[in-house]
Amino acid sequence: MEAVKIKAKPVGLVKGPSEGFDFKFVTPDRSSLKIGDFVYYIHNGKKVICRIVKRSPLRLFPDVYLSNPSISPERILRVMGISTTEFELFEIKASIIGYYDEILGFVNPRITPEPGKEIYLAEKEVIEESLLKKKVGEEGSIHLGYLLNREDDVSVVLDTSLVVSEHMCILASTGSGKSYLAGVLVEELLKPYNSAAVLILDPHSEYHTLKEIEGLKEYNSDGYRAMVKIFGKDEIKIRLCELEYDELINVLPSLSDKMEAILNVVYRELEGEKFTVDDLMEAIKARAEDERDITARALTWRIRRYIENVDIIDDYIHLELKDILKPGMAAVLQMSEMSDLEQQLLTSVLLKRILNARINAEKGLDGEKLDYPVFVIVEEAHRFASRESRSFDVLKTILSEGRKFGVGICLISQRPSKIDSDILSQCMTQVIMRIVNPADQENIRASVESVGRELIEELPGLTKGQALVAGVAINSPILMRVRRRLTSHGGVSKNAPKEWKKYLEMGNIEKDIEIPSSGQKKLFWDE
Amino acid sequence: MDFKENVGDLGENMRILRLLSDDEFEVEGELKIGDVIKTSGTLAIVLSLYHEDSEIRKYLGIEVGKIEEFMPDLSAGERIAKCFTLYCKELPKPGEEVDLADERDLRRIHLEGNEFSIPYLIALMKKCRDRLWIVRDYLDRLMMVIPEERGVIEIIKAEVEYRMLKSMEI
Repeated sequence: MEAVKIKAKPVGLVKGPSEGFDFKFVTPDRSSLKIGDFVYYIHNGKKVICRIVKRSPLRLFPDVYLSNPSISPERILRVMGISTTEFELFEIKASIIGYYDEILGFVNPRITPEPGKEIYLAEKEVIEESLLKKKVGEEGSIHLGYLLNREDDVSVVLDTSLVVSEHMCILASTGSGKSYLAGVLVEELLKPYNSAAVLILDPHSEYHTLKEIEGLKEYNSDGYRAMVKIFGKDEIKIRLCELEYDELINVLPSLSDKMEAILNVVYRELEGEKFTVDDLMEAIKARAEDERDITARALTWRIRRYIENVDIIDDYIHLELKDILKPGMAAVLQMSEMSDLEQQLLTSVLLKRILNARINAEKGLDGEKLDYPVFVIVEEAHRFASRESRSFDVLKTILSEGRKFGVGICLISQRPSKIDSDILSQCMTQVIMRIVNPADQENIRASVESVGRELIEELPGLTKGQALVAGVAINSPILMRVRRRLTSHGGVSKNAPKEWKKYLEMGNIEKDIEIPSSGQKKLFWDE
Repeated sequence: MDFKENVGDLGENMRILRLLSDDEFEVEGELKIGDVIKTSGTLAIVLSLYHEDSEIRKYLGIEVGKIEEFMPDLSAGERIAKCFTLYCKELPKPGEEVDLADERDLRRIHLEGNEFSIPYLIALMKKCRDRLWIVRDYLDRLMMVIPEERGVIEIIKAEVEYRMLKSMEI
């Protein structure tokens, strides 16, 4: 039953089956069938989509034919009267994804095509219909880029609701373009067809350029106006009373067992109240045996010395969630001037508050509420999602339970091997860019189920701006090139020679060191 | 191109003895292995030699030694060269005269159509499977005759030598 009429010319013919649901076909095509691209064959009137996983010449020239670079191996064959046709053919291994059914998704026919069957290059419409869950500009869509292997722009679009509810990760070596991609992601989330509430935890302060969104016409239409708020260190505060006991302990170094015991009791007494540093110290003093109690004095000294040193901890002021999380707005929390401790405390406290606010809103409980789902982008996620990090527990909770309450997380990291694999495996949409480090590749292979071995092997070969996208927000893993950003990129690497030259051109040339006439430079001990 | 016109003078001492197949024939004459010979329409290479007694010696059988004592000019027979055709415009005929091919002949057949080619090479290698040194020596000769194609011939020769080594299972 060949119900589908194919206008396109076949690009190859099936040679035979390979392992599992893979098969091989032979093609004379020299350029258009690339690894990662999509082809199909017709089975029972349906287009069965397959991914190209390997491409190799059908016949190899003997090594010695390649010994003289000025003589082509084809010429040697011609001299011997042998046709080069067989050497111009390629054997391509393709992996069956299946035919697409709107209800069932991809259905694998569980039978490899018979030898001699025609293979067609998947057209733009076939890819968009079967591999993508959304179309460009559709409500709840994220247009990240274009299919890597195609000259014609085949858009790669993710499903926003699945990205937000089932979390996402962007993994790449430094300089591969991950923050550029994150910028594209935020641009898409703030488009009128998404109007998302986005929070960006920005340890390098490189997302400030997103502010340009406010001036773009795409973000100002039909009563919609996207906003981007940038928060510097001085504007970011967390209340002391919002710290968990463990977080409080972490701020105070070298506590003895006795000090910890006192602090624990005092903390439990004050827990739930909006207490200040003074309240905490008063409570400790009240528990002291007498004024000369050394433990109490040492503990209060530490609180004064360390807690008051952590700039983001404040007695009264804190960031209101509704100021930083609103639909149609992205808030960028610049953390570059904060210490690691401050960054982790902030992440932990904020995420906990966000999760609780969402639980309160969903369950109708008292307390701080957020009435809409939120999406939090965590840059340099390995700092916050490793087991040693203070924010590990809350991240783990959100990644495992956040789906129910509409708290979505996007982890961005250049060291995925340092992210706990339980956390990474909960990011159900993965965008993976160039990764060279074998440990990182191994961690991805272990944590990301949807990416096959063959695609993992593609990772070192990707160049800047190219990515592998996989997971729930797309029907099948694909290779993509990231689209151009509408705003400028804040994380551009410095061009050191250019800046050195510029510095000197601005007249900052040091005068020559004067050497005394004796020819001997005066040394400091002579003075 | 009329091959007869271009092969030059043919010798008088050697002649086609018999045709063995469409690409093999035997020549009676003083030839050695690797010699390239020409007939009016063929260029061929000598691949093997054997001796064939004269008819009278066959007839005399074991008595031939005694008869030779008083008939020293009794025909001792002929050296026969088995030849493999490299180029054929016209099948040779038994009795046809044969001569050694010279450099001019070799250049002409290999550069026909202004492009260097050795179209018989695979068949020749197959024929000499156990004696690939014949092909190697022949390629050495071609290198001298057609020096401008030395690079290509050297690569082909390397492949032949590799097969020689492979056949010895070194």
